[in-house]
Amino acid sequence: MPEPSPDTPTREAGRWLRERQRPALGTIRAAALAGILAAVASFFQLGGMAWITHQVLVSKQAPAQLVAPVIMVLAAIAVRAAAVALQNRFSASASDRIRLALRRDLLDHFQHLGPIGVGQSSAGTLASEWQDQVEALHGYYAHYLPQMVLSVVVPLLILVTVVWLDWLAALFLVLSAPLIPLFMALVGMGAEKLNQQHMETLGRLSGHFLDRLRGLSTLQLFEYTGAATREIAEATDQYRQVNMKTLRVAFLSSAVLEFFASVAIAVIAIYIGFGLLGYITYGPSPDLTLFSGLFILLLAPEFYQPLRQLAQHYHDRATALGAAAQLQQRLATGPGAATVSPGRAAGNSAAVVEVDHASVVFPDGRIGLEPLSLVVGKGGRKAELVAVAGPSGSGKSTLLHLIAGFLAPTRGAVRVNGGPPGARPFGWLGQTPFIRQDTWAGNLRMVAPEATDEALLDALEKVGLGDLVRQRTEGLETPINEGGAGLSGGQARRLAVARLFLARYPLILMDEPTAGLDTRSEHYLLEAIRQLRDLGSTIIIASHHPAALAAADRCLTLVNGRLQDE
Amino acid sequence: MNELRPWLELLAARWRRLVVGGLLMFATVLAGVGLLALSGWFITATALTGLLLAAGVAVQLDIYTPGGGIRFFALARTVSRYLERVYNHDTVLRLLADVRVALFARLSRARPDRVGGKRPADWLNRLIADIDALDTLYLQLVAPPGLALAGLLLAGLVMAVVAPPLIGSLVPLALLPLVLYLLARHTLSPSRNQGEQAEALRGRFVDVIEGNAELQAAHLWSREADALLHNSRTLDNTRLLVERQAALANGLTLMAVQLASLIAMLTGLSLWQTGELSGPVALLFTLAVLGLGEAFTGLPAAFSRLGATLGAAGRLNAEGESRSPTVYDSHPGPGNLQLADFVVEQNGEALVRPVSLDLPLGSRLALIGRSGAGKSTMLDVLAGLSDNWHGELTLAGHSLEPVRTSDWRSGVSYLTQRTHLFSDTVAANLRIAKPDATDQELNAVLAAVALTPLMERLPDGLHSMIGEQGRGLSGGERRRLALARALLRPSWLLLLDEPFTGVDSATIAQIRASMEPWLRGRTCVFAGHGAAALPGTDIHVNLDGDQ
Repeated sequence: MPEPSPDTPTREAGRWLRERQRPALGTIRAAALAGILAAVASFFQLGGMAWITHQVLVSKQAPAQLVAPVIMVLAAIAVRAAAVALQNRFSASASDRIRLALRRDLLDHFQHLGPIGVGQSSAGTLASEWQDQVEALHGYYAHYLPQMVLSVVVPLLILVTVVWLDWLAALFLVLSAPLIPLFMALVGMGAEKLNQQHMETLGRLSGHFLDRLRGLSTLQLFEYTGAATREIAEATDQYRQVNMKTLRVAFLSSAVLEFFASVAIAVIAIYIGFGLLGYITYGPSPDLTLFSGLFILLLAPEFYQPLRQLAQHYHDRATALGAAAQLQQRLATGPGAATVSPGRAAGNSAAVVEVDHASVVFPDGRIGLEPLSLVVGKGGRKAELVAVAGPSGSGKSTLLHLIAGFLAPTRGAVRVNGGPPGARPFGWLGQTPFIRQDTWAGNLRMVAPEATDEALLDALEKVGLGDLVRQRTEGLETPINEGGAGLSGGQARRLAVARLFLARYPLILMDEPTAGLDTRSEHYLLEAIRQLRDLGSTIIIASHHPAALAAADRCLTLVNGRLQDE
Repeated sequence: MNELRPWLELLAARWRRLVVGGLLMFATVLAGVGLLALSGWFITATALTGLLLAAGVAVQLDIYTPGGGIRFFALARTVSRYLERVYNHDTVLRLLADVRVALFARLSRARPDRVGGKRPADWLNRLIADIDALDTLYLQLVAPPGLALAGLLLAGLVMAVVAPPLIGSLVPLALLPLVLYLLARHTLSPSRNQGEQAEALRGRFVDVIEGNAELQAAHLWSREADALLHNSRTLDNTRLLVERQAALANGLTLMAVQLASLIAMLTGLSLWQTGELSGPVALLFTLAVLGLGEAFTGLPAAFSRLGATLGAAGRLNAEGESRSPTVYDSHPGPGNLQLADFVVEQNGEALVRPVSLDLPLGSRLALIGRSGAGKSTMLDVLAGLSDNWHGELTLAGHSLEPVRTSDWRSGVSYLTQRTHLFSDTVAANLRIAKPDATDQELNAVLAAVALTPLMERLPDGLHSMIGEQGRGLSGGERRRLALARALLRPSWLLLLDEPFTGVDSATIAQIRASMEPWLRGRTCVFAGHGAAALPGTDIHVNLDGDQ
């Protein structure tokens, strides 16, 4: 086993980032190639300009005789501009493709995890991963990766060109070449520290600010907003002072890079000048011309340019690594015990639900359900209303999850209509029903695409929402959140029940459907449960509401995961 | 562009720093231009002199002054770059504080129930993203164009003095604002709404995740997931559009800079031929124009974000109130509180049966009911936070609406169900209720809610930090600290919504007795599931009951 080192998570995240680039590998390569093409075009442009200068000033040619070189320079400029535009364009689509694939994979993973696995994290956390963290990868794929290639290839190309022009000048660049890895490290360290420091300050600052924003209504109730505003000003100023102390040092590393780039230009300029004056008789210096001298001078800044740009994109890498670590972990979380087993094919029973000596032990060792057997809706009693009662934590929800197929039994088997649970659509009513940002009709027709307007209104009538819809300007075609009014918790749950009327599922599972409801909603809900049963649905309801228990054909009681005698 | 005005005014308040920072940036660009231009001059001059020397002509070239100049510019570029970064970073952090303070002040002036959207978490997320977008206003959108313009003007001025025909070489650079304008025009309207779109997408995602049991049961998950991906493409496409436009603008900018230097070279060389300009000076200008290009390269990226920045500014301008809200009725002062046919409603449906009550000053009322029965909404109305009610409410014989009554809230202390504890010390959390409270008073109110043992346990007593949202404390301790804060606030009307959530029954019994002195003389309204979970009261109203 490899020794775990402190930077393993970073390396791991780096590997993951490289793996994820697969869907756009070609495009990323194309971006880097376009960048290299731009560099090569720039050699032709700068060389051409140096050549024209030489021809006019030294060989005394009239500019009018130099049409061909001027056209070459113009062409090189056009190629260079086009290549840069293409590089940016390719980078953008590469990042876009990678992020889309990742978002799709995350959604697939959420489906695979099932409601129980997804329920382990807050919806807000998942939303921030699915949106913000995926977005945070953009800079890495769009800017950092192509630039990484360019910062190696372009300086090498320049070096080769300069060796051809004057190997002594190239030596100055080569001498700084061993320094390049050092620069890279310096830039990396500096940028990473800078980024860390900046993020930390920003984090603490936003933390303080966010805390006050979250508590704004509390501050308003206590009429403390004026003082809180002053505190925000003081806190941000303190953070600034602390931050600046470290930044003064951190900026030094980029200053070093800047210094070497400037000094290299200065040294080369002075060397060429002395060579042209004939002061240096060693090596290739006597052969220097205005053309080669000027060309080398024009190339020198380009030698360091890719590296300076890489430094600018360094924070993209740090941001992406942070996000990658989180996303990688999310995609790695297995569904635990929640895998839906394929189950045995059609059993010999014709019951709607058959639980056969099923027990559940959670991964942490807690017992969810002791071995339990249960048959619901057999023979003549197809449409049965079964209530499961018991104190909270007694295993009511676990039993429902088993029947739903959200959870596989540790031992034993569960069959629904003779097949594995969840093989056919069924109804589920919990406490947070799904409401789509759509019209009333859209929210109802999602389960019954063929239903007529009359059927929709009839279903709404049954849950007491008929009047509300009729009041709206466009009736069923009114957006459900018109005017930002939205639905109350009770109204949303009633809408979900209206969907149950339309879908006519043979099996409906309800998990504490009356918890926290207003009186009116509760009244409609209990009435609806009876009607759904009369319409032929088998209903299993986990609840301790007396009215729900009274309406049930059968009442089971669970205590500590064990079924009490009926 | 009007959206930016309030934020530009914030910048303007720090104009001295902005000018100094801008000059430092300018000095960096000038040093870079100087380094390249002087090097070009030097090489050309030495080449030409070298040729003359080789031909046996006796000429002299002072190589020490330009050599020193080159070294000076190399050093100056490094130093000014460093100073510029340090100084401007400091400025940005100061501006960051300004933006936050200004926005917080605006938000504080809005009515409490109008702050935050339907989903406070999504709203906060968007708000923070918008603030971040404005943080870069100076460094991205104000300084770089100013810098480029200043460079262009200076170059034009020098050329006008030395060799006016050279000004023609600046034409491609002068045309760049047109490119930037077109870039901004194409990307402005799609990227303006990115913030709203991201917030809406987040809302939809949360809907799907929270409803995922229902969706998977009905075999509808894949369809909704596809719809979600489809929705996210709208944002992606906007982003792609902006980046493609920026890519084009980047290419055009590069072309303009290189063309400008080519034109400068060709013009300079022909001026040399007519004897109007020396060869080295012609090259000096060529390289100066090339160096000046550095001031232009960042502009397309900055301008492609203009739409998003404008959108962020517009949304932030719409948050909160720029002035204090106008309030209509005046406050008659503490007295008898009477409710007649009082009904609270939510989304157009009445939550409770009409209630009629008479509450003399100092009396106590318990609102009993299950969750969802409308208790909290009633307390919100009494606290002056909500106007979702009808009926009649009178104080000391004056009929009034709490929301529209000046100073109503200064007479009320309200413990809400989800009150916020700040990531600060115990004392700081309490002093929000009464800034001038002495340590003795704080200890007394903490004793009333049985938190004295906790204070003895905490390392720094009153001055111990309690963590984000009070996470350093247990649920019951958090609730009791919040209760202590509500009791501490001087007020004639005390509203407590489920004051003992998460507190064990033995402690409740203790607190019910010990908080008695803090209730005396105030009109109190408590809300809870049952009378046992509330302090002792005179009047009970049961909101459950049949329809």
